[in-house]
Amino acid sequence: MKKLLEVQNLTKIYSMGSIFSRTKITAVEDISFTVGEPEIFTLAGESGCGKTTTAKIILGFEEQTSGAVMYKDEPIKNLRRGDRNKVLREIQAVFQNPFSTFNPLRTVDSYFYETLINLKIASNRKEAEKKIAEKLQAVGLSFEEFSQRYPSEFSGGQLQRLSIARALLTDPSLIIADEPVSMVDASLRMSIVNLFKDLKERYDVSVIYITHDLTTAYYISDRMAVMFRGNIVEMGPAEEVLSNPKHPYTRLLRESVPEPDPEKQWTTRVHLAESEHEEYLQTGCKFVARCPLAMEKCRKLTPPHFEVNGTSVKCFLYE
Amino acid sequence: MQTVISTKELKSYYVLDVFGREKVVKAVDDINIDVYENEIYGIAGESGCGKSTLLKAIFGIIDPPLRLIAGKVLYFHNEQVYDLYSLNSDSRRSLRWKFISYVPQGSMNVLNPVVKIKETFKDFLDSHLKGKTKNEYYEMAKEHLTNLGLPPKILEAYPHQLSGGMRQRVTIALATLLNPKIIIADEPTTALDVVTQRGVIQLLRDIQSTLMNTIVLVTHDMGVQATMSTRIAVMYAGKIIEEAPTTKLFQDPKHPYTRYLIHSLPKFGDKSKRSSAPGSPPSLAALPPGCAFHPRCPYALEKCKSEIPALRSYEPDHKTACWLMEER
Repeated sequence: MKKLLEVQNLTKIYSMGSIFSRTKITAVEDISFTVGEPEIFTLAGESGCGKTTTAKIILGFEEQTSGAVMYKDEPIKNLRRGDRNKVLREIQAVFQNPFSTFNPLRTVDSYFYETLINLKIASNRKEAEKKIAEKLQAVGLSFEEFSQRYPSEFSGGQLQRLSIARALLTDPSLIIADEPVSMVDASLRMSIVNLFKDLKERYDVSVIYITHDLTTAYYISDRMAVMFRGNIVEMGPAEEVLSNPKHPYTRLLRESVPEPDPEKQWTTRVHLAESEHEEYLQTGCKFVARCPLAMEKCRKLTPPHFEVNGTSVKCFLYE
Repeated sequence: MQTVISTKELKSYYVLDVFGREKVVKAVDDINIDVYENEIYGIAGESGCGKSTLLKAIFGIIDPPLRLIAGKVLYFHNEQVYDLYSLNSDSRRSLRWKFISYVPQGSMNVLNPVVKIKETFKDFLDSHLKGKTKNEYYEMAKEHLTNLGLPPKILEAYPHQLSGGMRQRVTIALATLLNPKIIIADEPTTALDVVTQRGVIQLLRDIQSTLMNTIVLVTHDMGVQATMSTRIAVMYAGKIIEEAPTTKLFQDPKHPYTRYLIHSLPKFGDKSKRSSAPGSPPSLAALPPGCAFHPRCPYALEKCKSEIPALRSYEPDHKTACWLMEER
C-alpha cells in the first residue's frame, strides 16, 4: 500500500494559566502513524485523548510543538504558499456538528460556488454547476433540492451529506472526518457511515475517521489507533484491535461499550477516576492508576511500542 | 404487577405564536403507558420524537409554550391514586422527590459552581425535611453517598474539581436522597465517555436493585437500552409505536421503524452491510397524515396514508401500532 500521509513523532503542548502559575497539558505526546492509499484509518478514544488536536494539526489549524506531518513524503509545514494550497485542496475536512458547519444566514450553495471559484477549480457558473451536481449525486442528493436553500431547510442528516459533498468538490485524496455521525439521528447514522465506505471503494478517497464510537469504527475501518491521554496505546488492523484487544485500556474500552444485545451483560465492575486532570500529569504509563495489571516500572518508565500479532501496543506486559 | 404511573390519552403540545399565526408542535400525542413497580422502563427514539416532553408531562412540569391538551397522569402511592393535574401545587410538591424524582438532561450542570457539593446537599435536605441542624444534614449526605459507593470526600469539593462522570453521579445521588419510588432520568449517560457511561449505568442499576424502585429511562442509545431496561417503548413522531420486554423487542421487532432502528446497529464481529431507514424523520409541526412513518416505510399500504394505527397488543405484552399487523 502506498503511503499517503505520515505523522512522525507529533507532540502538542498547551500551556494554560497566567504567567505566575503555568500548567502544561500535553494534548498529544509523540504519536506516529501512517495512512495508506486508499484506506479508512480510525483514531478512537474518549474525550480529551488528543484525537481532535491531531486532526487540527494535520489540517493546519494548530501548530505542533514538535514532530512532522508528511503528505506524499513532503512535510506540510515547510511548503510554500502555492504548494500548501494544493495540499490543502487534497486534504479536506468534515466536522461534527452539521448545524454549525454552515452559516444560517447564507444559502448552502454559496459555499459550494465559493470553494470552486476560490480554488480555481471552475472558471464559470455553468462549469461549477456541473461539478456540484456530480458531487451531490455521490452523496445521494439532487441539485434541485439543494439550490437556493438555507441550512435551516435541511435535516441534520442532509446537512452532513452536504458537508461531505462540499469536501469532495476539490477531488481530495484524504478526508478527515471528526465525529461525523455523533450528532446525526440514529435512523440516518448508518447511511452516513456507509457513505464513507463508498467513497473509499468508488472514488479511492482515504478517510481519517475520528470517533469515540467503537462499533462504527469496527464497521468501517481498515486500521485503527486507540488513543489515551495523548498517546497511541494500541494500533493495528481494526479487526484485530477490537476482537482481540491487548492493552488493558483498550480492553476496558472495548468491554464498556453497551452492546445492543440484551443477552450480553457486564459481569465485572469499573472503577472511575475522580478527576481527569491527574492522569495527564502522570509519569510513566498514563493508565497506571486504573490498570488492574500495573507493575512497579509502569509508574516510572514510559513504555515503548511492542509488536504483537501485527499490532503495536504501548505496554510493558508485552515486553 | 403493581402499576406506579399510568398515563391516559396524554396529549401535550407546544403552541407557538409565529408572526400572529398559531403553530402547533405535537410532541406528546395520545400516549397510554403503564409503568410497574420494580422495573426499568426505557423510552427510546430519535431526537425530536417527543421523549423528553413526555417525561416533563409525567413529572408535571408543563410550562408555556408547552400545554397540556388532554389526558391524565396518575400516580399510585401508598394505595392511593393521585391525579397529577388535579392536585394543587402544594400536594404536587409534596410528592416530588419523595415519590417521584427527575434527573433532567445535562443535569451534571445543575450544581452551583460557587458552593461546595455539601452545601447543595444541605439546601436540598433542608427544603424538604426541615428542623435539623447543618451537621445532621451533612451526616445524612455522607451516609447516602457511602451507600451508593461514592467517596464521601467529594462533599468537600467544588463542582469544577470533579470529572463529568462524577458530577453526573452526584446529581443522581441528589435525586435519590429521599428514596423515591420512581426516578425518571432523561439521557443520563449521553455526552459521557464510554467508560464513564458504564459507571453511571452501574450506579443506576445498583440503586434500582437496592431500593427495588422504578426507573423510567429516556435514551436514544439502543445499546444503553439493551443493557439497562427491562421493558422498552419506542417513540416516533410523538407517539409510542411499539412496546415490549427488552429481549423480545431486540429479537423480534414488529414495527418497520423499530426493525430499522435495531438492525442498523453495527455490532462487533459482524461487518455485514447495515442500512438506515430511507428519508428523514418528520417535523412535529407538520406531520404527514395517517401513520407518521408511512413516507419512509417500504411496506406502506394505502390505509397507512390516511388512518393512524392504534397501539394494540397482537401478542402477549407486545404492543405495536402498525396496520401491517392487522393484515396478517
